[in-house]
Amino acid sequence: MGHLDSLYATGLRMTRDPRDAEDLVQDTMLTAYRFFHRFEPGTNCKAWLFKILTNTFINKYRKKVREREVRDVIDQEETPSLMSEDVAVASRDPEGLLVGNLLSDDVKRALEAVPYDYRMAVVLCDLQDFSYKEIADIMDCPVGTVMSRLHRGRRLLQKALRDYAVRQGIVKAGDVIEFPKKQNAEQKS
Amino acid sequence: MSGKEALRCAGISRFVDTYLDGEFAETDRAEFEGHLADCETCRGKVRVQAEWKSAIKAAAPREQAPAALRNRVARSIARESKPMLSWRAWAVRAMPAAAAVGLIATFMISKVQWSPVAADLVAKHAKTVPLEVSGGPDQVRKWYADKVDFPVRPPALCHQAACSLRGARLSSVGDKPAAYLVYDVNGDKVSVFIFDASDLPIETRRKTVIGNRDVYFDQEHGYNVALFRDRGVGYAIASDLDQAEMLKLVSSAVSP
Repeated sequence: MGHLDSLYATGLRMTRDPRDAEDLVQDTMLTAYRFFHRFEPGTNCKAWLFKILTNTFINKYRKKVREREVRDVIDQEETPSLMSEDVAVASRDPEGLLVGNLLSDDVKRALEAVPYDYRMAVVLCDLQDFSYKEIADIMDCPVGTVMSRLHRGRRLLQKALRDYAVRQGIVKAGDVIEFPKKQNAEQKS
Repeated sequence: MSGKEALRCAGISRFVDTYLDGEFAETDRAEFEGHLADCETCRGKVRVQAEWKSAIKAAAPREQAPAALRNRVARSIARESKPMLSWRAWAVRAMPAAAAVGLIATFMISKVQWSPVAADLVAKHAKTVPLEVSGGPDQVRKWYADKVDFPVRPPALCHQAACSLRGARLSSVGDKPAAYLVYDVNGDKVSVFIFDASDLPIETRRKTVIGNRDVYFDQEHGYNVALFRDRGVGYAIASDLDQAEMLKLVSSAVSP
């Protein structure tokens, strides 16, 4: 039961609905109990539970959640490619204002705007501290795919947070802050 | 910045995440850091991404599992930990009749695709829907004669006056047409679904043999579901009766 909080929080990121998240975690724990003989002692128990959580979600809940997500995704479809430009924009972020003032609700809302595969890569890496190899195992994909999902997922998340901050008036859309030159000296060389 | 340097930066910047996540092999990391030492632009990228990473981690929502969920999980695992004992114990203690007709073995096999179907049946059971035909077994059987392509033989759930068939309607099990019969057992509603089970798996984790027939049990949202086949026709019984009462019903339904 030690990982129940992590499973529940991640279940919420997956289903975006507290009732579904509870059912999902309950199913996950029961499946883990039934197949505990397949768990290899010495391997990562948390990763094993998260793999069951992911599979249970995909098999049992994803269709339901997806139907609900269809409406939300329409906006994202219109988002232009973020890869190159956004890295550049992100680099110029007024981080003192935005990054320093992130609230839990903002991150939660922004994560919800990121499509499932990218969102889960970010959640598993940044919120649950899994290694690339563990994430590859949990999501059943190659490490290279984890890396690209993580890259894109983080940029999408940053964009969602930025858009939200702009709407809230925390930062201005045209805000451009160049890197202060003096910081260069602080970097280890 | 020279063209060559720019190219190098472009190559390097793809791996800012890998670097920050500590996923580089030692030599790659050294090469990356070597470039960072020379390149202000890349240092800036790394710094910004590092700030994002730690800010998101710090502000990440960390919901705790509600106490109700903890209890639910604990209860379901406790129930799971002795399924053989509980079913057998109930059968032997509360239902000598079932033992007499041949409660041979209870054992676990792996659960296949039944669960979503069981959940659907339980949802149907929990709802009150208008019946299309009311009356006893004979009326119900006749009503279905030209509506489904399998015989609908309403099972006798018990042989007491307090148990009666109230009526029926057309329904479905999985994506197959089904007869949905509603019984009244001592004032409790019991739903019986009859369907063509030729290619629908009905196996669940708990199997009990009653009167030479394999009967599968399942639980969904607090309701008990029992499943069995008779001459290629599938029967699913859903109720909120407890396990002992369910065993009584099933044993009555499967015995001639």
